Amino acid sequence: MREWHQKYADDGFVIIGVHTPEFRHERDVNNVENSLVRLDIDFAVAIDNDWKTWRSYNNRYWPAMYFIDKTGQIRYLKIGEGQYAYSESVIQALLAEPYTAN
Amino acid sequence: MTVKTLTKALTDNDVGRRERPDLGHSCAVRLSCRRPQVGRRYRFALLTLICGLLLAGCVVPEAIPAQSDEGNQSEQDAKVVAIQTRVAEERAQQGSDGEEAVADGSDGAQDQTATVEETGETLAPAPTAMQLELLAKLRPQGEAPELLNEVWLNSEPLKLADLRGNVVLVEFWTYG
Repeated sequence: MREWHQKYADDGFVIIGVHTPEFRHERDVNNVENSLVRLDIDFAVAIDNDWKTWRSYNNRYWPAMYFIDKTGQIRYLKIGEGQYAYSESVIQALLAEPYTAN
Repeated sequence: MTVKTLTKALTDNDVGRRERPDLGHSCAVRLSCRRPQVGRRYRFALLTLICGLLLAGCVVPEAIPAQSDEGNQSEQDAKVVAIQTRVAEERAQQGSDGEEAVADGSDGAQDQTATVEETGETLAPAPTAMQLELLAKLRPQGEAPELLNEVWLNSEPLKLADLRGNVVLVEFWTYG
């Protein structure tokens, strides 16, 4: 994730981590902030303590990655860890996809 | 029957022993005794063959190039004439169309500029064949719901609506 952010940020790739807590201590924003430093995460992180975004996505899993194309369509959903090479090829393909603003 | 068993049979046999001195050497089998003679003939035939081939090699190459040279020469002449004619024709055309060619060139440059301006928004290189195949598989699954959060780290609050034209990865995670 961190690598992708560094590698493709200049090509128009944005990573948004939505932090939806599972346990009470994970609701503390300070704890999340510390974890960002510890994990060296420098991409944008939304604090989803009230589960708003989680519910609007009808999400059920940690971690879950939604790959959204230039038009705002969800093109690929990856649930769980692994298959990073394939996920990266998805990012590359979506970045290469032609886009014309309306 | 193999040679070994034949040899054994002859050496065990009295007849075989008696015949051996007649051959004038230590070979026990009649067949093998003939080999020197056969070898000599064979060597002679081989030598003759080699000499024949050498002779043919010396004579034939002289004959063939002579013919092909003649053929090539005439073909080459024809080609040279054809090329000279083409060059002359092209020169004549260039002379008359010179001004038109310059005008076409400037038009082409303008066309190129226009194309760049039109496609200016998609600066990314065109997808490869493999990427096109992958993109065809990645069918749109509906518009991504908007992000509804107000508290953000590492960034000002973001909205997907403001990120059109970017590829966005939304990951639900928890540090715990």
